[in-house]
Amino acid sequence: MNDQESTGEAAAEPDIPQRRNFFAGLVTIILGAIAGLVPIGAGLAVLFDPLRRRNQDGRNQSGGDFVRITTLKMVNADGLPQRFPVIKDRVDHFSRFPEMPVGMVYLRQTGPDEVVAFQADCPHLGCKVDFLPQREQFSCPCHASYFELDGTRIGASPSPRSLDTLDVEIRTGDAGEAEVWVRFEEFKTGEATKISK
Amino acid sequence: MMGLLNWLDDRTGIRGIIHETLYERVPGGARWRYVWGSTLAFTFFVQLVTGFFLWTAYSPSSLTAWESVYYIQHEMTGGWLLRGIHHFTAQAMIVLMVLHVFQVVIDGAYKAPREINFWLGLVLMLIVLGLSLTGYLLPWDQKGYYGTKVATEIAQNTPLVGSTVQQLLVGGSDYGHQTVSRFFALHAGLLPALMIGVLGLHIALFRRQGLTAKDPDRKPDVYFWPDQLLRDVVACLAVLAVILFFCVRGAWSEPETTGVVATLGAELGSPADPAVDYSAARPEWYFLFLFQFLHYFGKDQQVMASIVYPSLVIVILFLMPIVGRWKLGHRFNVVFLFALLLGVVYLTGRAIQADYYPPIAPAKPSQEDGVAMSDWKKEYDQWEKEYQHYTTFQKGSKYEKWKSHRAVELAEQGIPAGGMLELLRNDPKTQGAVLFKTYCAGCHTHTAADVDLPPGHEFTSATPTGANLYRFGSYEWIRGILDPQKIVTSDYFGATEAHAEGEMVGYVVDDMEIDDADLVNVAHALAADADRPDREPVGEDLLEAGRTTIVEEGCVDCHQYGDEGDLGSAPDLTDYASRQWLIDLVSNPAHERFYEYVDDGRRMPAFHDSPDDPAQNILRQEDVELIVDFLRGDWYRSKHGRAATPPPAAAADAEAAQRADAAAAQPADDDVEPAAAGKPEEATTGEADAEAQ
Ligand code: FES
Repeated sequence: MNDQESTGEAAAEPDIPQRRNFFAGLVTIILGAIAGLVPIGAGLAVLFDPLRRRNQDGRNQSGGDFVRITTLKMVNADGLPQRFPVIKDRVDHFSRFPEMPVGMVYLRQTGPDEVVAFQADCPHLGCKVDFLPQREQFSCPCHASYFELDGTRIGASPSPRSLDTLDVEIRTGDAGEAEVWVRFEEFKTGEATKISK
Repeated sequence: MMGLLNWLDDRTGIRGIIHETLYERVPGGARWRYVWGSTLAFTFFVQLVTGFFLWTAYSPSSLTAWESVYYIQHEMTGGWLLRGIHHFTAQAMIVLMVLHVFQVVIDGAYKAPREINFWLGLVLMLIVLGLSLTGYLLPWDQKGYYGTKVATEIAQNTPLVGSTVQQLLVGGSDYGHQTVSRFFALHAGLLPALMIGVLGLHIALFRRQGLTAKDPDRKPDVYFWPDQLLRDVVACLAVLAVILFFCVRGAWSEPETTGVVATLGAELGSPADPAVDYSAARPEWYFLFLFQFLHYFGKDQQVMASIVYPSLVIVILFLMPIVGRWKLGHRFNVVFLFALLLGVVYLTGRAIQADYYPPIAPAKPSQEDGVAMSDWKKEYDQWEKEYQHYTTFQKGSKYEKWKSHRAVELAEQGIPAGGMLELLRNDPKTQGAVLFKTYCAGCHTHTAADVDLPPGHEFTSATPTGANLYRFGSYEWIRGILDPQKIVTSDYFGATEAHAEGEMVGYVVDDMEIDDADLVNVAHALAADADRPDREPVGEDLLEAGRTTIVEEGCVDCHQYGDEGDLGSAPDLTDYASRQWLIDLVSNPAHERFYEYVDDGRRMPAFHDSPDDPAQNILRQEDVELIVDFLRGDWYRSKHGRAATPPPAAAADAEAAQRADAAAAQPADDDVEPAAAGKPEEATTGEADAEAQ
């Protein structure tokens, strides 16, 4: 507002020397920019915090460690996949939730001591896939992606890749029971290859 | 008075401003077709007002967003109306905007000198779309959460900047507190501010350039005030009436199922739960066409379909004033717009059809023709997929509907600091069923022949290997296992490896010599010990008679029952099927009180047999309790709407009467008002209508 007024006045009174006005203008702009940029800069720093945090941690909070999903006994021996919740501590910024379900995995027994684990999130845009026992296929309720029993994507599915497998370890618990442990991770959607989030 | 006005005018020029505002020339006379711009401005005003008041009650964080919206919707005076108006006005805005754009293009009002104003209008349109997108998430319910999640995943696929944009929007890599607060800052801060600025420019330019008159010589010119303004005001009122209609239509289009005002105003789903999928996830109806559009593209075309093509359409819209300089160009613009509309309507229709109308199975070719046969197989496969899509959506939305009512019911008790999810995760009726599905339904069924169970409570299996646990421990269940005809069915021991040919079956089928009246008493006595919350009380004399029969007629030869009999050869009948008995059984069926005598491989797993070392257990103690309470129907019941106690029992002597009673007692288990219990189909259709709008 002030700027406008002063330039307006300057135009009305051409006898004031131009040079002085030019310097005054420059200084005004610089000072004004500083005054404006400080609060904006502070704001942007906060806004961009999630990016910095991500680089620091290297990966998101859900990635990484092996989580005990269930005992081997609970997994169907017939090779049909079953869904299990993944329970671990969840952190949502300033809130910490101990032992919360953070995601879903499909477990499928492929041999006496062999289990395959799939992330239940669809690689297309992240909806949770269903398993259809009649067709023996996985299907995504959002945009109709289909996957074979072994996770391979089928024909015309919009999903860019097959279901994401997760690393599995069969460990023996203290009581001697075989347990299924899975390295639970989330992956970027829409990519042709598995990239950790 | 005049003096005051003069004083004010002197300092502000108010007279001139008012005069300019009201005495805008309307060439060719006032007309109804000029009202659309004003109705849009009006809806924006409504959004600012209602939005502000919603803001006074809304609390943006992942632990309080749903909770505060619940409070607005169900507790605060007029909350449902305020929310309803805000919700439906947003939708009205979209419709009005489309009308406005069509009118402007058809009338050629985007041509020189109005190009810039047309562009400003398109910017406004994008801002409005941004407002809807951000607003959809704020209630933090399942549909907003999963609908928006797909949108931000799409944003992430944008080449180069996608990932960063998504991180900034979401406030990290997972949805959480900051997703809510960031979306809210956009929705209530940045976007409305932009909107006010751009709308101001839009209107100022419009005033400067004047109305694009359809035919200026039709009638003599008039001023905006009062002729045109009157029409504008009437149109705004009409828009408001439509909005209000949508706010209250729930009152008669859908049965009340919870006894609270759940059907008025805008819908509020169940709270967002990252761990529970929502297979009916859809965007708002006006984005459905984009959602459907993705279906038609293969994996390599997804970025094109979700980002490039939509952006191209917007670019073409922006180019319209330039293209429109030529006569043919104007025609192109009009045709393009109509083609676009047609496409959008078609895609939206397809999306709705796929979700709400079951596809028709292709007829099998009659004669043995190889070609026809293989065609049919293909068609059939396609049909099966579409049918799957349909049932998945229907099941998903029905369950979600049920769960959202349940959430409201539970919230009556007050929501704990951990938020609504904590309450739902501790609700046997909700979470118990979920756990049952994962850990029990592989072997056991839970299904009723004569009643509709709530969605998510029915578990069937073609090949069960355990008993049907529906109303386990009730009089009817126990009476059934003592019936030679029933015990051999898959509802009881018929399908189990360990018991199908076991002693109990042999005894009941061949050796039992207890007469029917006594069996009724036995079942009542055991059901009384089980003490399900839905048990109908019977006379003490019957119970006493039953107990005597158990002790005297040979049950205690195998079972322990109080002080009689011994453990080791059959499960303990002391407090059979009571809460503690069930918890102990599920925790460790290999205990001598239960099935120690069954071989390891044929017994159900122990779900919590290492209380001292929690990591060793399949389920946590709380989870076992949730499953048990689910089986016993032991859960919070709403204070609203239905009687707290089941109807008084009829005489318990005749078997037939008992059966009838069982049927009558079912709704109690169902926990819904009797009036609504039989109508889940209708409820779904009502919702279907609501969503199809
Ligand atoms: S999210 Fe699975 S197909 Fe789109």
